[in-house]
Order: sequence, then structure tokens, then C-alpha cells
Amino acid sequence: MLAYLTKSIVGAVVVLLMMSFIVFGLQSMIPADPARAVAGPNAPPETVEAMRKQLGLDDPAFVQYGRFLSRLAHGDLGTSVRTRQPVSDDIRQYLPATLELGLASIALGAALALVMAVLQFLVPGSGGIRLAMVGVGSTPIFLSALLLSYFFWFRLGWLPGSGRLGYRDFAGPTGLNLLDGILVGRPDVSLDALLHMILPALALALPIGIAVGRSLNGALHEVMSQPYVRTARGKGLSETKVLLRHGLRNAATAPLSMLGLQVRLLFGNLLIVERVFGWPGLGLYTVQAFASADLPAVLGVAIVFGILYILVNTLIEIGQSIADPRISL
Amino acid sequence: MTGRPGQDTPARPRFNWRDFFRRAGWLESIGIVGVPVVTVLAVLAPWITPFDPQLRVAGAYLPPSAGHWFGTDEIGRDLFSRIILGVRYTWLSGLAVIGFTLIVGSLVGLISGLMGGKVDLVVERIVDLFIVLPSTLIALAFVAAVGPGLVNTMIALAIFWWPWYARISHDEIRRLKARPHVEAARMAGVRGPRLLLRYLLPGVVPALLIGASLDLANVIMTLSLMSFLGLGLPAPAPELGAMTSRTLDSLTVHWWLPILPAAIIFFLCLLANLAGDGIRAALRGA
Amino acid sequence: MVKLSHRMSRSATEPVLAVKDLSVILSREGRPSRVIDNISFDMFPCEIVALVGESGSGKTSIGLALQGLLPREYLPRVAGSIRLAGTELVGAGGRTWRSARRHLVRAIPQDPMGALNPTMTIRHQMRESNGGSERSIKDWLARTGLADPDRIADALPHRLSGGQRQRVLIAMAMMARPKLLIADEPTTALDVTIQAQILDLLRDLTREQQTAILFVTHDLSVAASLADRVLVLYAGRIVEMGRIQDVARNAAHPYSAGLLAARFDLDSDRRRPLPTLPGERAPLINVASACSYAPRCPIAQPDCMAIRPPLEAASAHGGAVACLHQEQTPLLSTQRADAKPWPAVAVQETAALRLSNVRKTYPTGTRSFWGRRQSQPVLRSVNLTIKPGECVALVGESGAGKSTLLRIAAGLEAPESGTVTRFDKLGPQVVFQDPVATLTPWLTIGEQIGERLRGVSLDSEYGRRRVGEAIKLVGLDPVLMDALPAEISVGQCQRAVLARAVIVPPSLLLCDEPISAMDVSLAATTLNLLSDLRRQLDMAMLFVTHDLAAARIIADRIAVLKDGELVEVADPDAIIAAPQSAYTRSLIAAMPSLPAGGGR
Repeated sequence: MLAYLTKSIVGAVVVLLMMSFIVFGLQSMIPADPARAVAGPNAPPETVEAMRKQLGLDDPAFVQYGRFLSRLAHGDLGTSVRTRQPVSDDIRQYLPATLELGLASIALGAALALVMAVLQFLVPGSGGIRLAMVGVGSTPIFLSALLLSYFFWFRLGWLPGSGRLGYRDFAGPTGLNLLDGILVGRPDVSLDALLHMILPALALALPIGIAVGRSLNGALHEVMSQPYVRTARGKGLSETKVLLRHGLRNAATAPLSMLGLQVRLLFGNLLIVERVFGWPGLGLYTVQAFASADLPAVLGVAIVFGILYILVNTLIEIGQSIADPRISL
Repeated sequence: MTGRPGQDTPARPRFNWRDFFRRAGWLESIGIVGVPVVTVLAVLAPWITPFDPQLRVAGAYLPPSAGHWFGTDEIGRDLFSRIILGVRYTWLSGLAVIGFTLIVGSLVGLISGLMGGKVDLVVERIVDLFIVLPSTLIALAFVAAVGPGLVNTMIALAIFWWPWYARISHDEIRRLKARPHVEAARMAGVRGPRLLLRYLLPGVVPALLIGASLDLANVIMTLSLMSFLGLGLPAPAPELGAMTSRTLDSLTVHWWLPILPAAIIFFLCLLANLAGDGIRAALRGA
Repeated sequence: MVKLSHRMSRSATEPVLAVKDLSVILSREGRPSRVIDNISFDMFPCEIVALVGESGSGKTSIGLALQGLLPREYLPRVAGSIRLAGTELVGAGGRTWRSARRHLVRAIPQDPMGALNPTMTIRHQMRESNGGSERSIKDWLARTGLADPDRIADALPHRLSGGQRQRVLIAMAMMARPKLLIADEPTTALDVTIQAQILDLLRDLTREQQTAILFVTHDLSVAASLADRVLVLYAGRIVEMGRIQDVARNAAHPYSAGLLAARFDLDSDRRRPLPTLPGERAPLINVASACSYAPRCPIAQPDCMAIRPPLEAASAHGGAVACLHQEQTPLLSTQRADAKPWPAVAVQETAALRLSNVRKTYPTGTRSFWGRRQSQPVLRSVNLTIKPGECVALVGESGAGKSTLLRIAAGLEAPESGTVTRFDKLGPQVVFQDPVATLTPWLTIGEQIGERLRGVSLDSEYGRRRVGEAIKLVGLDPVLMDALPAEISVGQCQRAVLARAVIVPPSLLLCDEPISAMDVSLAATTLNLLSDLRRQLDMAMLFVTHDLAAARIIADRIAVLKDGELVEVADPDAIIAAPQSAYTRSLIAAMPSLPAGGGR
């Protein structure tokens, strides 16, 4: 266990260093001169030069990288060109919304995967079901988001299709509205948050559900033809019991890895879904940053998502070792 | 002896297309045939558009009709012709990314897998590192930093895609090297390039082919995602993702403008996914 | 169909299992094939019935059909009748089948390694069985001879050895007190010494529990040491049935007679080629109106190809046989003895291979983050010399280090310390365990054999002729030169592998368990071929095996390896008559043998 902790911390640090290095490299690629950007377009050359010194832009690259690292360690991600605020403040403001949506869609995706894989296993798929699964898996995220919002919001009016809450001035302790509503005793807020979340979470969960579900289905097919499943059937257990007790747990490793991969794609999809549904989170923030070439904001978000991704992967590894006790941490 | 009943019917003889398609499944065979067809169409695109995709050929915002199958856009350009050109960009750049990363990645994997030892360990760690990075995001940040453009998005994707093929070919070569038939060939005196070309590569290729064919849809999806976010070609160029994102706000008025390009991306991904599934089923017998 | 006279004493008892006209059709890749063809038999309480047949004979399918567990992906179609303790199971619904599996019929699988759920403790898996109370779990684990039932119950399967797992599986099956136990080659994956213990255990349990056992095996001697009756299966049909002593002494079907003759044990004649079954089982052609054994049968007459022989009373014993000419069968045994003895080998007093003080350790366990591993010795200072023209058999149980020693001798691995000296610049050739896996699937047989003719193209007249000669030398049809490995049988693959090894005869041939996965007859054929080739081509040979009988047949000297050390090296007959080490004695004692076979 201790060995695992050291290993995963060392691994996380290496990945973060790599990311910071990439981010630093990308930052120095900005064609525009940051000194001039800070000093203002009409500043005289001397002021720009002074600013350059002040910002340390004439130091050697590795000194600048060291300084960049130490700023990172202190949570300083630079200043957004667009909002004129520290990127870390912006992120703190928008992160809860994204966290809420992301977690909801991972949970929904995993549930979809489970239901789909088990159903497909118990009721062997025809060409139609196969086509439907491949079809959903081939839908670009913006198309599914558009269609969901077009039908369920615009056409049918069943669900809200924009924003994350109907209450204007609600602010809870955690920033996760669904949770805050319960915490402060406002179930109406939680319900409203839930309704707002359904469409975007569904759009995000569909690709996760398909990919993980297909992986789980494949693993189930392999596991269910193993000799130990024959042993279990030989004991006279019902097919459902065999599947739940002997099949699922042994089939869990590969789909869990797939879930990890899908989380990586989720970061990209969040940008689009938050844009389509006007969800005020980091994704929308990043899309706006793209539009105004706000590189510090983009890179800041990349670092935060990188940390989240490492966390998710660690959780998945722990999950795998719980599912299969032979994998020791 | 292996406890599998009915095992002694001779397994799968020589390759033939009929068996290949039968194992792939009828649905998947459509994809396997469709992929080369779309590729040919994409190459021929500039010569087969019914109208000039850059010019105003009719009134603005005409809905789909017999004259203009997919309608016309805000300045009266033929949407069908523009989409054909868009398919060319998306499809060919997707193929290019896959082809390039496939070659680079599998070479890296082959070489490290063949050499073994320290080199292998180092390469393996580097590949692992690339694979655990949140690549979509870094690719986006990369394009944001170096500036939008089709070539830049392709480079960004390629940087984060090759490690997958490196891992596949590395793992396959390591697996094959330990197989009795390769050991037997070595004992029979087969060495060097002959061992590689006759005994190892033919065993690695199917796994790479399966991986690449399943990835084509992913690459196309990611490329169109970047184009949707405005990181692809600049404005007048008919890129499918960008066509959708630019006309997003007219969804409720002129539905065909955002929906049809997105639907075509869906169609391309569907073909690629079906082909991938079919190739996997046919080659692995799954 | 056939009433068996010797069962008359039991006719008052109801049979536990009555199988009548059972047929099973399985479809693979859209091609249906009849794997069980119209068979009928009964089983009575307390009875052990051996179901004997080669691989592909349908014996595993019968076991699965009796449990209703034929793999669904092969779209099984079952016809006829299976009555288990009075319940008709063919055509029964899922509920009936599940109840039958829960209370009436249990199975012990062939491979104990894969048959336990790797992520569930033994206790949880046993609890799922009928009668799985805490006490009976402990009781049954103890009764199967497991020393520490509590520890075993809380363990995950991968912590247990093969023998322990097989005991757990037996306990799990027996605790449900089934009427019928199907044991599908339950000992093939285990070492000989453990095999004997497991068989004893099964025998005791049936007596105690009144359970009938259907013992599925390819090995008549294992069957004989355990069973009361035997069913001989060929190509999905029962060709002979009767009391085991009767069939073993007076086989009435030419196939049973052939199987009996082909089996070898510590008493077989090692001075001449072993008797074998002629040919190999042909793929199932349309044999609805013919004897399926006719194409291989040495006494076949024209009518054998026209009439399907019914199972009728045997004249040689009290059982039944399906042969139109059963009176001819006894003639077969007299024809066998006249095989010419092997010519003497001129063993020179030099060395073809010398291993001195060879040591090797292997890393164990998982790799730490920095790639460091713990290690465990596999070979501790081994000294062995093989003279030119001599065959040395290396005998030992799994984990003894046999294969490692062979790989070091082959140069596939380097020893940690010690020296390996080969006295020929042409390197040794290796024949690996699984002939199919040793052939590259995408290259033709001819291409692979031709690889050893360095620089000679297969397109040249000379190349094709050389390969053709090698193929003929190992008894294959040169037409197969252009076949892919998947297009030919296992036996043909084995010959192709040998052809590759001897097309340019090496001075040293290394064989790694070449017969361990083979049926008796194919094993005998392979031993004959190897004996013949090494004499013809004057090769020294190292023959690695876990089978003492095979070692005795083929070798001039036997070396016994235990835990990485040679405990005994001596002449085969000497080692078996007067083993010097306790370990060798236990190996010999554990060998199954046919009671009717000899005087041992």
C-alpha cells in the first residue's frame, strides 16, 4: 500500500512536471509580445523594455521555467487576457459547475454502460441493436447535444436547455447546486439543478456509456466462456446470478480502463456541451478563451484538468484492484 | 484434449474475401466497402461537386430541394457542394493523421520491442507518459498557442496519437517474440530482417490494422471537434465542424445549415466505426 | 437398446442415469457437425463408468450434454433422452436443468487452474453450492485431504496449487451429494504423484456417498485403475462397452484393441517399435451408413463401408460391441508382436553435449517501481553429458526445471553460471511441446521446413526436392508441402516440426515434452518416429518428459530432476527395477497401469 502511494505520487508528479513543461513551452510560443501586451499597445519602447525586465522575460529559459514552476506551486496561473482577473480566481469560480456536470455524466455514463452491456448480453443483439450502438457511438458530440436541445427543449419544452439553475441569486457552500440544495434545505433548488443537468449530462454520458458498455460487453463475453463460469453454472445458479456474481467482477478491469480513457475525451466534450447548453463552467470559459486568444486561461484550465485526470486515474486503479484482488496496489 | 467440444474441424484455411466478409458481418461489411468508396470520393471531390462551392449560385437560405439537395447557405452557396468539399478536408486529414501516426508509432514500438533492454524500458516509459496525459486538452491548448489551422490541428493530434500504435506494436512484438513458432524459427537459423519480415511483421499487422481502423472515427471526431471550436481552417473554408458551429444560432430557423454537416460527420464516423468493428471481427474471429 | 447381462444382479436397482439414443449436433462457423451420434447407456448408483476416447471423439460433449452446459455459441441441438434420477432432461426448461445441476449432477473439470473464480474466495464459491453451510465447507475440505481447511477457505484460488484446487473442486461437487459426478480428465493437468491421490479420493467418495461417476479420459490405464465399466467412444459413437477387465483382456472392437495395444507403460517392450493405431481419425465424412472406424480399421471388409454396425452383444465378453466382424479382432493382437527390433546404436565415448555446474535463477513476483525483482533458483548445479548417438530422458514433475535445462542446452537461455559445451558447429534443433504452436500460421509447411536450407530457394528444383525428401522421411505426403499448419492435423504438424528439425540432421536433437498433450496412439507414433529418426540420422537426443514410461521407451539413460537437482541418472531398466532415490520410487509407484496388462 505504501509502495503504491509512493508510486502513484511519483507518477503524478512526473505527469504534472511534463504538463507544466508543455504548458511553459506553449506559453513561450505566443506570437504576441507579453511585455507589450501588459504595457499597452501605445506604450513607448522603453516602457515595454522595462516591463520585459520586470516580468523577467530576458532571463534564460530555465530560470523562467523555474519561476513558472514556483508560481504554479503557489497556485498562480497568470492573468486572463479576457477577464483581466487571475486565472486561478476565474477557475475557482467556474470549476464547481464543471465538476458537478462532469461527475454527473461519468456516473450516468457508467450506469448506461452497465445496463446496456448486461441487457445486450442477456438478450443477444440483432443487427438493429448493433447498428443503434455503433450509431450512437459515431455521433459527434455537437450533433447529439444539438439534437437533444432541439427536441427536448425547443420542440417539446420538457426540460430546460440553457444555464444551470432557474434561481438567479442562489449560492450554496460547495458550489455544487444539487448538493447545496439539500445542504441548506432547499429541495426545490436541487430539483431545478437536476432538471437543468439532465440534457447536458446525457449528451456527455452517451459516448461514455457506449464506449464503456462495448468494452464491458466484450469482456463479459470472454469471461462468461471461462471454465469457472461453467463451474458456477454447474452449481445450478441462475443465469442472472452467474452474470452478477461471477461475470461482472471478473470483467471489470478492461471497462474501467476504458472509463479512464473516456474521461480524457470528456474534457474536450465538456467545452462543446457547455457551449451548446450555455452551462457556466470551465468549458464555456475555455471556449470564450479560445475566441479571444486568451492563452493563460486555456493553459490554466489545461493544468487543472490535468490534475483532475490524474485523480480520476488513481481512483480507477484503486477500483480495479478492488474488483480483482490479484492486482495488488 | 483442450476440453472444447467439436474442436477438430479444421480451423480457418486460407484467406478469402467471402469468409472475411462473412466473419465481419453484413452490417460491418458495408463499412468495410464504404471506407475506400468515401476515400475515392474525397480525392475526386473538387471535380464532382454539382456547383462551385465558393460561389453564390442561388438565393440565400433555400431549404433542401431537388435542385439543391442540401439547400443553400446564408449567401446562396450550394450546401451539398460545400459539404462534399468538407468531407474531403475532414476525411483526408483524418486518414493522413492515422497513416502518419501508424507509421511513426509502429516503427518506434517495433524497434524498441525488438531491441529490448534499457532502450525498451525508456521508450516504454515515454509512451506511458504520453498515454496518461490528458491529450485532447493539450492538443487544444497546443493549437490555441501556435494558432488555428488544419495543419496545426493535424500536428497536434499526431503528437498525441502515435504512442497508441507504439504500444500496440510493442506489445505484439514482445508477445510474438516469446511465441514458440518464432523461437522455433530462430532455432531453424532465421535471423535479422528475414525473421522480422516473414515471422514477426505478419503477426503484428493485424493488431495494428484493427487499432487503426477503430481509430479513424475517433480522429475524425476529434478533428471536427477542433474545427467546431474554431481551431481549424479560417472562415470561408467549408470544414464540417466549423460549418455547424458558425450556423449554430440558426438551428431553429434554418435547421439544415448546422444539422446536415454534423449529420455527414456522423455518417463518416459510422462508416469508419463499422469498418473497424468488421475488420476486428474478421481478423480476430471475435 | 442393449441389456447388459452382467448388470442383471443390479436390475432391481433403478439406474441413476439412463441415456437413450442421444445425439448432439454443434455448429462451428455455420458448419453443423454431429459430435454425439445416437448413443445409449445406463449408470447405476455407486458405479464408476469410464468414458474412453481420443480427442475429438465427443467425450467432453457427452459430459457437458449431461449437465445441459453445451456452449451456446455452437448452437447445440440435442435429440434423444437423458433421464437423470427419473427426470427427463432433454427438452426440459431452464428451471428443471438448474435444479438437476443443483441436486443431481456435478462435474469436476479437466483443468483445475481455470475452473475457480479468481476474484472470489474459496469459501464464497463453496457457499453457492447446494448444502454449502459453514460446517460442511470445513468438513468437506478436510475430507478431501486438505490440511488447513480454514486457511484454504479464506484463500483466493491463485494462492493454491493445482492439486489443492482440484481437491477444492471435488469438495465443492461432492458436498451437494449429487447422484452423478462427471469427472472430465480430472488428473491430466496434475503431476503423477498427485494424480494417484486424487483418483484414490474419488474412489473412496463414491463408495461413501453412493454417487455414480462418469470418468472421462483418453487413457485406458487411468480408467482401468478406477472404473467398473468402460464405454469406448469413437467419432461420437459407442463402439464397445463392458466390464473394464473384460474389455482390457478381450477387446472385441478393433479400435479398443488398437488403443490397448498402443498404450505403453513400464512393462512395454522397448526393444522394438510400439504398436500404434493405423492412420489418424479422418474428418467426419458422411458416415451415417458406414462404420466410422472403417477407414482406419486393419480388418475392414467392403460391407463395413456400407452398413452402420449396430451395438450388439459381444462374443468375447459380457458387454456389447459395434463391429460387423468382431470375431476377427483377436487376430490383431497376434499380428503385432512381429515388429522388427530397433538396430543397436553405436554410442561413442565422446560427448555431444556437456553441461557442467549449470545454475539458473528466475525472478519471481511483481516488478517494483524501479524494476528490481526477487529471484528463485530453478537449477542448482546440474552436471550432465550426452554422448553422440545417445538418447537421455530428463524426467521430473512441473517446476522441477526440466524445460529451463533444455532451453539452456539449446542456447535459448544463458546459464547464470557453469558451462555448456556443444561439440558440433551445427547447432542443436528443438522440438517444442505443442507442434501447432511451433509452426507459424501464415507460412506453408514447406516454407518453414525449407528455412533450414540456408540460402536455398524453395522455388528451385533442388530446394523442393530436399524439402520433399525431409517430408517423406517423417512419413508425410509431400503434397502437404504447400499446406498451411491450420489445414493439417496435429499429428501431421508434429511430423512437419520433425521434418524441419532433421532436414539438415543436427548432431543433437532436443525434445521438450513432445507427447504430453497427445492421445495415446499419437504419442506412441511420435515415440516410434523419434526413435527411428535418431537411429537413422545418428543424432544424440535430450528428451524432456514428465512421463516415466515414455522416458523408458525412448531413452538409453534416464536422468531424474527434482527441484533443480539431478537426483538419479541411470539405465532405464535399472532405474525402474531398483530406484536409488525415494523420489524416483514415488514416481514409479504413482504410475497407473492396466491390471490385465502385465505382472506388475
